[in-house]
Amino acid sequence: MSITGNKKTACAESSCMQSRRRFLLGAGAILLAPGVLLTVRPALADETGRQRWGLLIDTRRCVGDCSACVTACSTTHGLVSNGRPATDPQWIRKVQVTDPGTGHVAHMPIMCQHCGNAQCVEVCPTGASLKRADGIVLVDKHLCIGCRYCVMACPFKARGFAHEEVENPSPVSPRGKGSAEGCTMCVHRINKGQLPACVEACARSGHEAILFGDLNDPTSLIAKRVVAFGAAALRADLRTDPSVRYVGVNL
Amino acid sequence: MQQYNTILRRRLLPALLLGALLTAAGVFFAAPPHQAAAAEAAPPVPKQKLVRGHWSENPEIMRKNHKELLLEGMTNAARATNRKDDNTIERCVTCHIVRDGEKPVSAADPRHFCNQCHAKAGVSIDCFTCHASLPTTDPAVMSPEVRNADTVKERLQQWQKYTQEQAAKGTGK
Repeated sequence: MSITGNKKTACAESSCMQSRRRFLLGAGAILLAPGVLLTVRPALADETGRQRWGLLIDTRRCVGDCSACVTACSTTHGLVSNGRPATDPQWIRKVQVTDPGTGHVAHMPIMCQHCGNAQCVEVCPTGASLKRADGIVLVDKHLCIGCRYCVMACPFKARGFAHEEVENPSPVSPRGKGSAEGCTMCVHRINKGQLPACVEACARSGHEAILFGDLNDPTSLIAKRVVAFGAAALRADLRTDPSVRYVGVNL
Repeated sequence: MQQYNTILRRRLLPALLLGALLTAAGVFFAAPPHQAAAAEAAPPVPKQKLVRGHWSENPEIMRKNHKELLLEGMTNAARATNRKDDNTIERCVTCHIVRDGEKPVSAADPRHFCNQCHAKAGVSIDCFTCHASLPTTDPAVMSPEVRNADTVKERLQQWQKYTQEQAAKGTGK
């Protein structure tokens, strides 16, 4: 699967969506039947789907004994360990991969891949699992019934489940027992124009292995690097079109 | 056929008549005149009209409408990429603090702002199983002026000032 091929498809879809939206906006209000008007809410600047937030992870800069991103994620979202690793919340996992042929070892954080073709969204029976216009995949916890279909559908083990009561939920990241959950790409920070917590923590630790940016903007650093380095997608064979890309490993 | 007609006459018709009589009685006694008079004396609060930013001046409107406002915020919370922070439950608990000495009390305490009415009305809310019931001390979300203001009205004013400043900073970038 080639990245450029994917990008082209995504662009084609988004431009198609935009043209349809523009048509609806142009129409303003459509007459459905005599006396019944369908009014269309004007699209806001950042709801047009022009942006697609993504992460580029340079595994050559990621080191095995550092867990700054994991710690920052836990602190920001109030993920507290109860001493039960099987059910403790974990939105970022540090994974070590070894090439059996060459013995090359790489370390990389794996979080929600915010897929363009998200399987968690496909399987959700209530519409709780959703994809925002800017490509971020989230759980609407008011709609989640805790069936865990999304947890099973995710090929990256990125969807988690809150197994235990949350005593002091983080004000910016409400979470409670019985609901599916996962990396939100720190939407609360992105909404304010800040970087996701893991990206900031990685930069602060001096590794700068995670880059955040808009994949749809060809002038952005992330888009340029994705093209320059041929950044790979995890499990590209599944064609989920992730927004999180990796450099420095043969996947 | 004769048999069915007899059954209809003897059993079904009296039953239907009794039913109609009971329904009429129910309608008559359901709205006694004294209740109607009370409703006239206290005009009902317009429920559908959502008024923003004035609830500290007119708490009656907020008492009626807070559910709709929260619901509106709730449906937009995850989906809207341009989410506005004015209808969040986080903002409610930021201003409506009940303190035990210096420390604000959480929703587990019956003195918590939300509990004061909900306990009396017998409404059990489960907002705080997921949402924080304490005001945040995160300076990015809350300024010291908001945190230290004494009255709800003052906190609201400080909050508005703070958010305006933040918005001005955001556009300056």
